Amino acid sequence: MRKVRTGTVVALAALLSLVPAGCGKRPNVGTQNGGVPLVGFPETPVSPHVPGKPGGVFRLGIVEPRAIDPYNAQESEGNLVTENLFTELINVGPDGSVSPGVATSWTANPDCSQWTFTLKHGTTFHNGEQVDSAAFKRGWERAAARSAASEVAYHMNEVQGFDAMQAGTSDHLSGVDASVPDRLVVTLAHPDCEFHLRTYKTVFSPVPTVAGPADNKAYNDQPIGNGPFMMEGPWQHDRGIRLKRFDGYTAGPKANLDQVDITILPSQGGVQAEYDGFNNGTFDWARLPTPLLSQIRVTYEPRGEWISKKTAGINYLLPMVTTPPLTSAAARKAISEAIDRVAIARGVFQGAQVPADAFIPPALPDAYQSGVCTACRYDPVDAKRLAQQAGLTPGTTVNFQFNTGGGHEEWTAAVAQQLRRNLGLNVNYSGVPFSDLLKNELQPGASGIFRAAWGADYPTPGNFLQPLLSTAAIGATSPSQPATGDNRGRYSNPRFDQLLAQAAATPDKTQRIGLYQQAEQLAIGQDLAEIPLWFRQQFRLANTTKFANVYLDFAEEPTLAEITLR
Amino acid sequence: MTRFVARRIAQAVLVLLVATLAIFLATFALGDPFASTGEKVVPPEIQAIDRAKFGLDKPLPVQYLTYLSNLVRLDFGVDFDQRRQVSSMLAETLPNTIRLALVAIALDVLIGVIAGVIAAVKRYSFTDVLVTVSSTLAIGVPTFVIGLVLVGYVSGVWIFPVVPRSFTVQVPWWREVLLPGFTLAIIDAAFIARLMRGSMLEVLRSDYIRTARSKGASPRGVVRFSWRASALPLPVCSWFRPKRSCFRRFRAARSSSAISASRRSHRRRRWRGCLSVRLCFPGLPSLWSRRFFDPPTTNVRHARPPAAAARHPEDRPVRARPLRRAGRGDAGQALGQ
Repeated sequence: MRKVRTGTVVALAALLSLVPAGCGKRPNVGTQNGGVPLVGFPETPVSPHVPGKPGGVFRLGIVEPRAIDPYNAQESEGNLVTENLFTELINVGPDGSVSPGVATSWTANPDCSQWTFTLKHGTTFHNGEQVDSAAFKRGWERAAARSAASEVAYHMNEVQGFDAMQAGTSDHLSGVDASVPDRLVVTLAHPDCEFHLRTYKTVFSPVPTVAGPADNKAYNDQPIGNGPFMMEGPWQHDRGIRLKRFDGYTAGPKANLDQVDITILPSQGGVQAEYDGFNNGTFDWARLPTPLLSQIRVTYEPRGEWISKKTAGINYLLPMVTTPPLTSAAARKAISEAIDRVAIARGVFQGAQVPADAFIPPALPDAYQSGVCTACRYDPVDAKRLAQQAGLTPGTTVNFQFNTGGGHEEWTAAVAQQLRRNLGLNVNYSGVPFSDLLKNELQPGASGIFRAAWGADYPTPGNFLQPLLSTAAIGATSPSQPATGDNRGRYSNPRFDQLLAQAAATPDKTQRIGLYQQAEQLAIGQDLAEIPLWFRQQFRLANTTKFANVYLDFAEEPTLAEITLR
Repeated sequence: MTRFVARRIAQAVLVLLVATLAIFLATFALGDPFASTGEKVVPPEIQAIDRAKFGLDKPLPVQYLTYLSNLVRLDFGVDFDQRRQVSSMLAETLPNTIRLALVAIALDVLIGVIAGVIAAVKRYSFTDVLVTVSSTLAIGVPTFVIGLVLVGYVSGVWIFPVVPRSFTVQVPWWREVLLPGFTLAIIDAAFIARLMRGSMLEVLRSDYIRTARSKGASPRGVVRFSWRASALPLPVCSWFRPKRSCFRRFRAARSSSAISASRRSHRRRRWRGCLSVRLCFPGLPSLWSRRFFDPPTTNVRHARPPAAAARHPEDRPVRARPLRRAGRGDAGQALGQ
């Protein structure tokens, strides 16, 4: 209730601040870049790497994770713990670069249907057990088993034998060959030249024999992994998790910190509590409440405790492209051009958001095409022209729905207002809980635009394009069926699908990225099947007076294994 | 009678059924628990597996019956989100909840009663105005605001632990619950203080207090008894009599041999009585008013010269004291002197 009230007040204030667009004060305006005014807090430069020394206790707060056992660890909280307890085949750096994990090398056959991972010799689990190919097979099968009911096992869906395991007709992954201890051979039912990137997800972790099946409570609460940190005592539910350095770690550089104390905060207001805890000296790391960002930045940026980083995610509007009034690209472009992203970024977000000009974010620097979204600029005159052309005449009703409770009230209100003002549309604007939003999007016949966001699981543009825009990802065979995939807008373009298929079958990375760029050109530049709004950017506070090498990694977690005392 | 009992039992069963049905249906109001992870849709095959695992694939009536039969066996099932036994989650949090509730109740009674008594006794004084104004304020301010203010300005000071606190920092439980307990207690304490003040003023003005006073009860004695009588509207818990006086009475009952049999039996009664636990509220006026003519020796001794200290109603000299006209400020003035 309180949230809604303050939300309304802020929204009104934000709307008022938009009225004198152009002549108001301009906080946080970045440098000019080819005539495009940059808005948004600049990324903080990555401080130079300091040689590590053992010692120190790093403290941070999270909310209760869903699971820390790799078979079902999924959200940011669970991943933070699992990622440090386990080392998978590959590692992904903060910039999305791939480096060896347990695997020293990985190769695919020419059609990418079979992958061979060569494993490091002599790496062990925290209990001393050898990490060999059988341990990987064990871990993967444990998660893929029907009885595990894992919500993240779908990352393995390309592996041969996965479907049989999910159906319960088989108890092993026929596509995984662990007959040689140092070599893991994976046969894919759906060839993919980027399969190795998937193995970075924690669900691909190896597990020791003591792990047992997925419902082994003892292991669920105190997983024994092969990562740089190990559990110090079991997970104390709703209280905390303590990790300590694994001194026998040989899969990579050893961690420096003696210990990591992860306090579990109440899920209501958890982020605020993290920030409060940073302020009162309880935590060395904090996520931040969005409304306070600009204020926090002023205080902490001069002290060098402010971390700002563009991450692999995008906030966008999801148009329903198969139902009127947004069936034509012109209509969607009219909507897009009628939105003054810069004004909202300055007014509502006080400069904390970066207006998007592409769908693949700059956090994937190889693939980012600045300006590929030609309709992402604010041009109310052209928007009117396009709207006219698409039959999006003034008075047309357009549904616009967002989910409540995520802090989206203010900026969506501003977008709705701009659509009314610039196009004369009758915007049917509403906020519903996330589960309802999802249900409404999946319904056959859903129309209008919906608030949406996407964070990449793997460092590839394919992880944006394939799940969000490919025909297969609609998950419905006819328009009258509800969608079951993440392509809820039901965009379907055979040429686009073909480009994606071609990319997935291209072993060469540069060529592959080129194909993805063509695909983005088509779906976003030409068809505008999603309306990009802001590039995802993350902000943290870190105790840099005491600790060095504190970075934000690809999964938006602190790089615990690198952090060291100053 | 049998029919009455049977009807009542049938009603109870019906109420339970409706309540459990409401709870059961409410879980579906939260939406499909397996529809998405974060912003991502869970593939339908995996949703189906999840549903099967938790029995959500069965028809609703079957699910409800399973739920009921588990409930009867105190099996609350497994949390969809964390996949843990709900009963063990409850068992983890229940001790803290009880602790917090008890501390909050204790604090609100303690603060409320004391503030109310003082305000009534010192009627129209600065203290009274302070209690009245601050209780009005406390009733007007929502609990969460009080909580936020306390977290912002009081936590981390003196014995109050910082908020939030790392789980590795151990603090005695009473220090943990003090601030939250106080936050919960403050509004109730304000109510109790106002109630207490009102009823205390009424009691102080009543005939039997006037009589007690006229018979020489000390101001302290009057306060001591009238607050108990005034506590009538409060559902205040059981009450142990103070240990010290208990001790004294024990000595009195045992030591003196040169007193009359009636006085000895009277003292014995009083000693036994002091060990008993009684509820404050049932039949208080009659219970306590009897005792106003039997003022305790201990209080009177300090308040008045020994000669005048009446040990027993039978041998107390009747001292004429002009009755004041009951009116504004009467009780306060009388006691203030």
